[in-house]
Amino acid sequence: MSDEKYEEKYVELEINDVKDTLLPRPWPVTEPRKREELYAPWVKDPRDPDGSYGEFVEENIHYRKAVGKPWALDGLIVLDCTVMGMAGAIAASYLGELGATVIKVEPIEGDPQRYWYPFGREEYAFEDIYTGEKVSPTFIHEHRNEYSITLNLETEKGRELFKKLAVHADIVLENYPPGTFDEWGIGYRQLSKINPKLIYAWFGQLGQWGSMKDRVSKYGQWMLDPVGLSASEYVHSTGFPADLLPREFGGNPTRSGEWVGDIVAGVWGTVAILAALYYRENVSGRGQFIEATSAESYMEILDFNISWYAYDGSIKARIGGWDPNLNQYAWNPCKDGYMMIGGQSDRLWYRILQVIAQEDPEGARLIAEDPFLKEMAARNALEGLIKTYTVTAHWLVSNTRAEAEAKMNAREVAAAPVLMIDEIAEYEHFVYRGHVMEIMDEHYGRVLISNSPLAHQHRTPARIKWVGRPLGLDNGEIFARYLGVGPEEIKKLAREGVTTWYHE
Amino acid sequence: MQMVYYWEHECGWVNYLDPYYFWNFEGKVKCAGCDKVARFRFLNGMLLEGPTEVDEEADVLPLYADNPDRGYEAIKVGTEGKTRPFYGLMRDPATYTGKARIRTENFRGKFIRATPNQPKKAGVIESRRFAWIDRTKSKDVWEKDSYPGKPVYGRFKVGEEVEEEHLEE
Amino acid sequence: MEKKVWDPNPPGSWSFDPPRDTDPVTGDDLEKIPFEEYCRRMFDPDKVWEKPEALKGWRHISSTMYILSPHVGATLGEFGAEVIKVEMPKLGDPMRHTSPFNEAYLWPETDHRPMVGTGMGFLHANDNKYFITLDYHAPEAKELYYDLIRISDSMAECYRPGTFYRWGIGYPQLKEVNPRLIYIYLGGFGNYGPRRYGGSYDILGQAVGGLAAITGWHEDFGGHPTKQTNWLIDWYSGLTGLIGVLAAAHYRRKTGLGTFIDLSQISCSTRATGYAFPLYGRFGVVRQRWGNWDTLLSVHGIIMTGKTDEPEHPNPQISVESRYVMVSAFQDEDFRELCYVIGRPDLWEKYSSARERVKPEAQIEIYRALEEWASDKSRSEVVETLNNAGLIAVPVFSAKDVYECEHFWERGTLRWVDDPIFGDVLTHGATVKMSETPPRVKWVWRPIGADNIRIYHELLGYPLPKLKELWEKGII
Repeated sequence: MSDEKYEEKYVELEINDVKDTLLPRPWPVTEPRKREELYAPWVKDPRDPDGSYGEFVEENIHYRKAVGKPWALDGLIVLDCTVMGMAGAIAASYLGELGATVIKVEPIEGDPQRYWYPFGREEYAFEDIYTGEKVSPTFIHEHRNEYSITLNLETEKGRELFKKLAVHADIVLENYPPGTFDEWGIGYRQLSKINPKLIYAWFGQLGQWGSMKDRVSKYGQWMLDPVGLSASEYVHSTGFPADLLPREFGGNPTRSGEWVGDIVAGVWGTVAILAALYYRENVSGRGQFIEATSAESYMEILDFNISWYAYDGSIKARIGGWDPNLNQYAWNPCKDGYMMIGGQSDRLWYRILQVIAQEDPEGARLIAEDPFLKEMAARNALEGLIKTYTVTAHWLVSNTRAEAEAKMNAREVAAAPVLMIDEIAEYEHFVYRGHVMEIMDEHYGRVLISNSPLAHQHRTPARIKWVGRPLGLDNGEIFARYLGVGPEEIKKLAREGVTTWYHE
Repeated sequence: MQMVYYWEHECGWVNYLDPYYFWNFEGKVKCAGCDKVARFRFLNGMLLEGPTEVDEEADVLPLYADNPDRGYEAIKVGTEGKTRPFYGLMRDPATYTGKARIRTENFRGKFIRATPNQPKKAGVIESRRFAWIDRTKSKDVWEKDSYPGKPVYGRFKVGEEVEEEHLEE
Repeated sequence: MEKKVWDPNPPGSWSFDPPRDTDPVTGDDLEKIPFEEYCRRMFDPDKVWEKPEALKGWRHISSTMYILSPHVGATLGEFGAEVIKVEMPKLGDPMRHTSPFNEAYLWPETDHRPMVGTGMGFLHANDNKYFITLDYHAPEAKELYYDLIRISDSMAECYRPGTFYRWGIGYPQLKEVNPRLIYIYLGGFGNYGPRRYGGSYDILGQAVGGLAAITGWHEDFGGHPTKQTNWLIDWYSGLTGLIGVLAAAHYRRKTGLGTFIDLSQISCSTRATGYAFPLYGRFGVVRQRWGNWDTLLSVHGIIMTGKTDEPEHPNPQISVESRYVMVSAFQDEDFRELCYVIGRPDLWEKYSSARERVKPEAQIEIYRALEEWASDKSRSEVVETLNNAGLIAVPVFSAKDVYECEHFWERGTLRWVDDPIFGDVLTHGATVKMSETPPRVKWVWRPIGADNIRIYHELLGYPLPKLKELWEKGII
């Protein structure tokens, strides 16, 4: 399909029914400015007087210059056995984006994530253009750069093959209920005997051991995010207090929109894996056993919360879009959405005030004169927050996000709108930097995807090569490379229910 | 269109109607200063109606109010009959002060240095490492005019004795 | 006297032994003991200080402020690196003035303003670091900084793009000084692009990156976008940057060359939006906020119960707020059981297909029924009833519940740090579990410039009179 056709459809598009949303559309609608424009002589900036720093960065760091550069984790082999949870997927995709060979080992019916459609709407499935096999956008997004193989670990034969694979692996990731792999004879205890260099990471919500460890329901349902978030007081302290937003409108403890507990556990796990790798390569020559749980990983980054409780019994309360620690540091409603403004130090705080004073001198006066608000730390008191944000919101009521952003940025105040997903996809800066980018996938066509944050590097940038793959696509390749099992044998195994055979 | 989020009442008191609660709001609010009640109707931040004074019971009190004419004398959160209490606090609201909590014991009763440096005679911190901080930077020492670290026109005077002690440690 | 024989594998040397078959103390066969017991021994929090550190010998320079970039150094420090934090003389990191509702401070902040404390906001992004001061603006500073960089493996900074370059200590200059250096820049908008000079904070990352768009209650229900309670996009982006640093170190083993990483925290927020972008790109559907429920699974969300657990407690966070439960029963059998437990078998008949019950209308009906059922029960009653029925339900913990939860103490997640300066401080600890090289917290932080002598004199070998001169000029 050529670009003109997209244009035509986009213009004609009128959404009356869910089906109408199923047409591909162009991205980005507005192209970002070109490099020549941004760095043109007449926009030369005192912060980069001769333009040489900008030149250096554009030439060496820009994500488009990444093609052909080496891969940081080249040669590592990762077996990702995680299903359902997001933590293993995050770890695996970070490793994969940095160049490791990541092999996702799935049960023969596939990772259930493949079939979790937003609101159960199968219309939002991506179809493999060869087989028509459907997959959810979650799976597409989270399992980048992973090979997919199928292996039924519940069968003796499947476990035998897995052991043979594990001999070659540097890293194994799994998130089955505690002890499952051990019972199957493929846990760390057993695998470390056949491959002492193995780094084995388990991901979960609460832990493999301890009085409140992960468990399954009577019917075998696993614990998934936000179990860890609930147990780590994240949920307790996120959301609006009922004083600012009545409970019936959502003034309750609130979970995150995304499974951030798993995301953080995945990132923590990856850090531990790479530290273990460093130790293995430089010191011991041996791998180790790693355990990352959502509850603990998240707790680790929950600011000072538990320390504050141990200090004087204080429990961090919800404060909605504000922050109890800093003033100003919040988003408040404005004319067409929500506007975030931040500036804590006197220098920035008074700049915000200057902007407000241009249009609302009375309100600015109330703040500027008040002796209570003069000192930086004292402003963090609850009264300081209420007063400052009320006056700021009063100013915001008559400003749109774009206006407020422009006025604040003119004085170098960090201010930004709360953007919806479509606005982020079109935000010039993000398009220019490829935070959101479109990649052409062999099986799913053009996919809009959020890029790896590590994509902007001098020597070893992270890159997305492909998105989540059709189930068992790489059985042929991987089995031949590591197990000496060819297509005929795989087909035989497929009949026995040990693996599957992907055919177009 | 007129918008009022800080409601400056004619009695001179300014009531702060916190934006999230009052963003979409219809009802009566009592002025914390003079107890007069007015009706407001906000829709998406726009004031559609009010403030119209009414002679009825108020639905809700503001959280905070102050008076610019009286040197920003304030009615704090949770003043009986004036402002509504804020339950979203981290502790018993009665002990909320908004000022640094000075303590030498933590929740389980062990020493914690959450108090300004005390003189040696206070006997709370001496045994620790960096004890020179207590000996040289305690409250009594700091309050002396000759204390060397005091800023003078943005620069710092340097005193010989203290400096040498610093280097010894 | 027993003759001493040299043992090539002395007990307790964790690094070079072959994988163990027996416990060195009890002599148990590790193959035979139950798995949980095995994990308990592998991750035993009491053994942490007997084990080596993963990154011993690594030196990191942390020219950082706030949370995002210091967290890289703090985590490296937990894994055993020597981390040197460089602050502006006398001013220090602005995060030191940050404290919840202006209430919690530890003294002192610095040795020359002893009446000012460091706020709790500084906690945990700065543990295990050494604190030195350096004014980068001064002409002498460049050489001092080069000397530090020459002996370091990595460095992190967070100033606006090009600032370090103007000061003569940017990546193009430092890579000449030390080609092995891994230089990580962490900021909001990154080093290139139309808005590269824009300042950023965690909350800005949440707002423009996409997390705000999908967190909180939808405005149709009367809700607003909700901030993640912690500085999530600072903490988690710092860790993401660290992944890049450690991966670059792996590459450096082969080539001896470092790298420059330009990390944008907004990009990390965008990365954490799940299916939002593929869905928008293909179907033009904009992902919205969906409150406490889940868009992929149902039932898998948080409900409010009618009564709280300890209504008499003086703290409103316990007396009023301990009334929420996370209920998870998304598989068919679980959902069926749940419907029977709450006495609504009709819901099971109506929504027996997993796809059907994730639909918004179904969720509204199901969660309403759940909250109705729970309206005369307390949090612990609800959790108990559901757990007894074999279902998964977890109370929404407050800090008090976490503190009193045995699980986190036995796992060493919570740990009292006996800090040499600040006393007895409870920290969340370095909580990822590793069997051989566990991370650990040694001290929570130190006053500004507390280690000037240790680093400039004892490490770099500057004579004391020289340091005194620099100190007088206000450079350190």
